[in-house]
Amino acid sequence: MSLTSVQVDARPVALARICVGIGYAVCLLEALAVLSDVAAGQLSYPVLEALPSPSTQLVTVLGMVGVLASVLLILGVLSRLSAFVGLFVLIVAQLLDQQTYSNHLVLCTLLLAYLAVVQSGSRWSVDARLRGRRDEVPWWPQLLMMSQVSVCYLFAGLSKVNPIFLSGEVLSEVLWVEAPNSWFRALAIVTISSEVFLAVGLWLRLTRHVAVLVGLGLHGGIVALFDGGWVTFTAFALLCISAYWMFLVRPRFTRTASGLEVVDSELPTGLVTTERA
Amino acid sequence: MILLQILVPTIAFFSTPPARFGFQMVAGYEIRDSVVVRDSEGSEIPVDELDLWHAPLRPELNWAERLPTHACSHVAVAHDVVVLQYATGRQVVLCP
Repeated sequence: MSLTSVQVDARPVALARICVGIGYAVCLLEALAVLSDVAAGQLSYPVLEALPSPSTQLVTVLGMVGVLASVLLILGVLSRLSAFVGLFVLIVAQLLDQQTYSNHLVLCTLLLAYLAVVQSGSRWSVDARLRGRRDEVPWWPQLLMMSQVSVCYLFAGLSKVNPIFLSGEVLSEVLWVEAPNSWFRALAIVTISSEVFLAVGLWLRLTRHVAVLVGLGLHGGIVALFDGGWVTFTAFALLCISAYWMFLVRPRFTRTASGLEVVDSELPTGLVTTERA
Repeated sequence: MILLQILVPTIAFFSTPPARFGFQMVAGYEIRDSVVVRDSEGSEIPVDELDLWHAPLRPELNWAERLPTHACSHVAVAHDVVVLQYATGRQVVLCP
């Protein structure tokens, strides 16, 4: 049996679609704000000199198309097409000027790419209402979304293992709270530990529920404690948290003489799907 | 595909930080980055960054590539621009 034939509950990816759709709206508006400034004559950093400079008209068109894609994605209207259009708009935005780059924008772009191939409109969507719902969808695109979020956490944590971050200086500057520097040094270690733990802990049955709580705490703390940027951090949180349910119901495999076999796919309702090669 | 997901940020991780596509978020490399526009006497000219560029500037960009020229063309008495970034160090770029 191949991974591409595994079917899982359609609800986790439907929730991911909604979360990514909201996160995408924020990422899009941030990118458009950059492009608007560039179109107005502010500093530009072209990706390639041969590409056209962003104009006000182009930014407006991108905005209209992108917002429409976001709304349709959230509502689950032509879900895969909406994700693809959203992806296209983000790629164009990033090609127009290097200043649009941000790590959460890259994460959003990648998650949209996976959503463009996953059947995220099978539940909790206008698509499901009009065409009939599907309770099970292929699992493999969700695996890519899960691994992407894990990679994000892993490198977010590892990149912070440096003297500057570990000194507590960064957190003391970006957080609005005032505290002794020893607290910020301790918080720096907690932050790194949390992110690296999430990268691994979400995958393990023994730790995944704790990992979800750690993740919610980490993102909640970021939104609550950072001095500004709460909209951006909320969007980033939604992008990451979009995959949490998928981790909680990840199918379990066992290797048999005939290949991989799904032992069970844990579903919140207790419904179990088993397949044999 | 998963290998690619891991490979790209791994390459970024071993590149000079802050590197793009490495998910290096709030890692601290940009915390001492700065831009100072100076006059002919070396005094700092107060500049409203929001008038000149979309602040804050991305730390992954090499600010010395384009920012000094842009600042010089918009600040009448600018003589040079001092750019300090983690990846490139301190650079003084004279206005044309």
